[in-house]
Amino acid sequence: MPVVYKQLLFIVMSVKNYLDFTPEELASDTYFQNWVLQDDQMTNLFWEKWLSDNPEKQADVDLARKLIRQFTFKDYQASEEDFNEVWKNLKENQPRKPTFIKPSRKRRYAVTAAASVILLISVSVFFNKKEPQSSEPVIVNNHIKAGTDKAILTLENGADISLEKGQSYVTGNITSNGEEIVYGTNRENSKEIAYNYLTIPTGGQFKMTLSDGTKVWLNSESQLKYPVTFVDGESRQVELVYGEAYFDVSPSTEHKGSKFKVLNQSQEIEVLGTEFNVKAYKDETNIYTTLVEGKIAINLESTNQVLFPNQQSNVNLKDNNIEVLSVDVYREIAWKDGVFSFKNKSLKDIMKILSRWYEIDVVFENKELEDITFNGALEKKLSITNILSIIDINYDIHDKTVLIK
Amino acid sequence: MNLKVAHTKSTSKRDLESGKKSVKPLSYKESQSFEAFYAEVYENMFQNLFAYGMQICRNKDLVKDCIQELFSELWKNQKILVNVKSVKPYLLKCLKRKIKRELGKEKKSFIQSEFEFEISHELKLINSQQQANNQHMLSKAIKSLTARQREAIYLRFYDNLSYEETSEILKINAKATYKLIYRALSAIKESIILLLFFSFFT
Repeated sequence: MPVVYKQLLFIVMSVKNYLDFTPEELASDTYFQNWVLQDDQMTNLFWEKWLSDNPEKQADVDLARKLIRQFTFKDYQASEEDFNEVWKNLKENQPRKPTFIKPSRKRRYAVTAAASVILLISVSVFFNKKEPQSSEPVIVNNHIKAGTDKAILTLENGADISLEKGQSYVTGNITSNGEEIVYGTNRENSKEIAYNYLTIPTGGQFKMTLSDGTKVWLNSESQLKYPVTFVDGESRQVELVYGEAYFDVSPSTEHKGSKFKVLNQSQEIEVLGTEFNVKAYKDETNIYTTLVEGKIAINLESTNQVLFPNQQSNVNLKDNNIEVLSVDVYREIAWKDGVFSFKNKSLKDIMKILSRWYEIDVVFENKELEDITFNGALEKKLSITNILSIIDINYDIHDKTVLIK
Repeated sequence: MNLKVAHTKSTSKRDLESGKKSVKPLSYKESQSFEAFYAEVYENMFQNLFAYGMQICRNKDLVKDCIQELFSELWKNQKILVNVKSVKPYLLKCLKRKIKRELGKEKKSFIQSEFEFEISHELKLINSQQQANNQHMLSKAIKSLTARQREAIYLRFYDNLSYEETSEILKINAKATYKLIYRALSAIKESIILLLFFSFFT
């Protein structure tokens, strides 16, 4: 640095009244940052003197330093081979005189790039604003909140009990901490089967344990009908009235061989102890069943189909046709672990999923956007504005309506 | 071109003793041949470009191809390197554009967790439940930062660009860059204070 410039710098720093700076202001200050990050004599001199003049600022300075040093990024080191390989290619492809011959590059990355973006990561962020962002979103009365643990329990006598995070509820063999509901094993052998319902509203999710130990995760806008206790030796039967549920079924071997069945409209799933996901939303005409582990049979009126792990069946309710595909299982069940995961999903479908969790209405002003597809994973904890800015679309929010522009 | 270049691994690593980096700007000198300057830029910038590219897309082949294309263009149009005001942000900006363009050829995707960072080692030691909670709070605060905030922090704190250079890459003004970083720091301040506070008692 030229001497004149250095002196100028010193004056600039001296003029700033650093005594009034909060730790985060210090940490945001370019000269303070230079002191922490770079090795410049003049900067060192200035700050050491400043600190000895103002020893009461030691704590603030320490905190500011910590704030800056806190950020440790993953260190991607190029290997010597990488370094030499690129240089070699450059040398081979470049004539002494500039010409218009394009270096022949192998386009091998087209495939690998695609592979790499499928990688699932917990925090998925994106700053790809194609050139400067064209418009700032207009946000009016944003009361939109991410969903939480909540459900409505309907007892056999018809009473509705609202279950919510932070509220506990105990009765008979039922206990709930507001995040999940557990049915204890009932010793009495009642002759008549009593049914309860668990209804998950928009913006809700809930976890439950049935009296046989089977665990069920229920997604937003879903309803499950199930017996309070199962009758020994008879097949255990529940009904996903609508919506989406993930089942981790307690094995038949622990229940005198009694099968577990999930009914849903025209489909019946027969289980022998396994984990699977069923998706049958009210506003969709398909039932998707995804098998994670074990073996299940999908029984339809006319036909049946056995599913193996990583397979998904898709029953079209209009014609009762069944189709089986191999799928990325984690993507299908990520919702129960608090993640939205999309692969080649159209924006329209994505917004439908988001609307269930954030209780929003979505309007596409630009219909062309409905069909663009995305890959990605997003945490369900994120706010809707966070999510929309990550997806990188132009939008406005008015109350609970999101307008896609 | 018969120039030799040598790979120095440490270009992006900090001096372990002081944690500081020495910064020497790259600029073309009249006395220099273009070939020599070109090689110097390659030597000094390859690791920086590689690390930055990996932060964006984590695809080594794609990053290498884009770096190669970038340097190939710099060779063909020699005026660029000679005239550009500051080499480093210019090259980072070009590389980012190239990577984004390649990624854009795929379907639009937002999967990459760009500029992901970790909790620094000194704060990683958990020696009590309280510290575990505090640390959880910090990870949460860190996760709430936007990708642009992370990129600004990466460029300013990790790659040692100035606010002006950082803002050139982010395509916003220096004041907005300052705000991005200031807000990020404010967001994590509380949890850092707690972590530091409790580490005195354990």
